[in-house]
Amino acid sequence: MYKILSICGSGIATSTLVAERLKDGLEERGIIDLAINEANINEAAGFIQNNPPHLIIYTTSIDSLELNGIPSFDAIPILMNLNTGPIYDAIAESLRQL
Amino acid sequence: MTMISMDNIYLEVAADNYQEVLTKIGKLLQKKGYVKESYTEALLEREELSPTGLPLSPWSVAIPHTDPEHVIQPCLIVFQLKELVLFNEMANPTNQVPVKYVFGLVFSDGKKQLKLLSDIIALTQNKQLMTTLFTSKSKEEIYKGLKMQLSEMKEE
Repeated sequence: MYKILSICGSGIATSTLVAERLKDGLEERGIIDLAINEANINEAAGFIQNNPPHLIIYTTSIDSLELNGIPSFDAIPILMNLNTGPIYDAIAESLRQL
Repeated sequence: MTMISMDNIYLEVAADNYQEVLTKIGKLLQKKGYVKESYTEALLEREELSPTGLPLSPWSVAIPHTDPEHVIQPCLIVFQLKELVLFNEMANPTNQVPVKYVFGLVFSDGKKQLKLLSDIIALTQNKQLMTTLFTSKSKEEIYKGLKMQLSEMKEE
């Protein structure tokens, strides 16, 4: 099972939307065993420490976070639903390499 | 429950900076009973930490929102700004975008109101409708345009 953490400012709006869309995008690429959590930027550090995800997507700057080498992707293209193919491909590829 | 009413559309709102925009949104929402007193400060804090400007051409849009704990009743509040106001860009906060239109997302439950967010993002890519929203002087015209695009706004 792949664990993904979706981070935004409030943890309720954009992170939820990009998580839903990523789920669909990865399913289309044959990756279905997913657990996606959503967190706001304040909760994210705790998540990374206590339940480290395999991959992070974000709609808010995560410069302040210590990622411990976890791959991360800017999810704004997913939010805007523009040219999402390459980012879904890159995320799928990154998960397969784990 | 409808998420928007004509009463929550404001045209030609004057503000010098994004803090003033958000303060106006917070005060109006509080006066109308949609949010708690804590909302405005939470909205400002959240925008500072995680900005919501979305770069679009020719003018950008912002979708400010904050934690559900400050919300009493969910709604959408719409500001057409008189002059462009700079907001920091979402996920790229060192960049600023000139905002003409603000969609205040007053969410009590991210999952329930997800369709509205998704519809608003789609709306920002509808150039014809955005032109109407940016330039119209009629609340009724804007309301009708929004209603066509935002399925969540229809009576449930």
